Amino acid sequence: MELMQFFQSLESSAVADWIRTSFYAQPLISALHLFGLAMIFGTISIVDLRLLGIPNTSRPFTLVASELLKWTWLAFGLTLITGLLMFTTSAAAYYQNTPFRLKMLVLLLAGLNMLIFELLTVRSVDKWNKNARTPTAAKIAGLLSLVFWISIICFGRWIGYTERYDFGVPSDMNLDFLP
Amino acid sequence: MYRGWEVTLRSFAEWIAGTGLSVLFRSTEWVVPALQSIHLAGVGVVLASLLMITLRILRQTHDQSLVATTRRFTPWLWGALAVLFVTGLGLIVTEPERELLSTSFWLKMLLLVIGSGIVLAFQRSLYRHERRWEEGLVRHGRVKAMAVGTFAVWCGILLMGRLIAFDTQFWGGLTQQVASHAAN
Repeated sequence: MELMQFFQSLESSAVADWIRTSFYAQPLISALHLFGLAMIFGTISIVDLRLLGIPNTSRPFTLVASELLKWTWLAFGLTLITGLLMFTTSAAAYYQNTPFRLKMLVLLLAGLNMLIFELLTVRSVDKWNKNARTPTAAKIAGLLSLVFWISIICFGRWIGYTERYDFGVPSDMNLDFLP
Repeated sequence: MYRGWEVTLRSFAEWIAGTGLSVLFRSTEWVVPALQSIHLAGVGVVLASLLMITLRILRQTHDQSLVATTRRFTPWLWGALAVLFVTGLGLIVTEPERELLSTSFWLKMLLLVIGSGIVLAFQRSLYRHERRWEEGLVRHGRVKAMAVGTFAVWCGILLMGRLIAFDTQFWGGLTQQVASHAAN
């Protein structure tokens, strides 16, 4: 109950109102959200594939990771901010939306996967940093990360095709308004 | 209000919409979101590949030569573009009017031609004049500006892709059905 009240206050906030009424806010926020998500997936997949030894292991893992993950985090920040902004416009509907919930769940799993990798698996990196088979744990982490982020993209897309949520567009209109 | 090319486009879109494949795709609910999801993942691969080449030109990364970096990422870039082409074609077949009658779609195609042209020209020049690029060109401010500009063009392609869904709102749009809805 309190949660719903919180969502309602989000929806009636000045920010949400501005997004709903502004001419450019929805399309641009939505485009930035997509841009961020695409950049997260693109940059993290290079790191994930390196863990899987694709295309090879000739570049040190630590170099690949340090080169790319800062961009992943930057993109994540952008995606988070724009995502929160979109959330405020229909917080309660999002909260009850199944694909949205699944997306958040998988996001959590992706975070946990990364945490476990950073805390445990990467400790032995000196042994497999370059020109060596990555350990199974690292391969699993890479594969899971790929699967999780592709799922996040799919669930995100799916939100736009569920009836409940639509930025106030007529329901018979065949347009998706969510990334 | 219709100009000639709009009539042609509209009848072309209607013809596509009447084909068996289009009808099949439209009657299958998950086709559009599935195609769009793969499309977006492909956009991620394209942008990340371009980012890596751009960062090398900006000397943010330097353990590999420009040629090595470009050889490393252009296969991903063109491979992902092939995926984008196929999924994009699938989306056009499914919802031809939504795509072909939107201003954003045609701006996207224009930017796509420009963006691909720059990348192709860059690749050709780089492989032909490897030493000139590695020893001089890559340090030129103009080349760096060009690299950033190219990345911006590709971001513009993503933006236009997203704007297809907001076409009427943004450009006034060609799709009458949507226009009448927006007026409600």
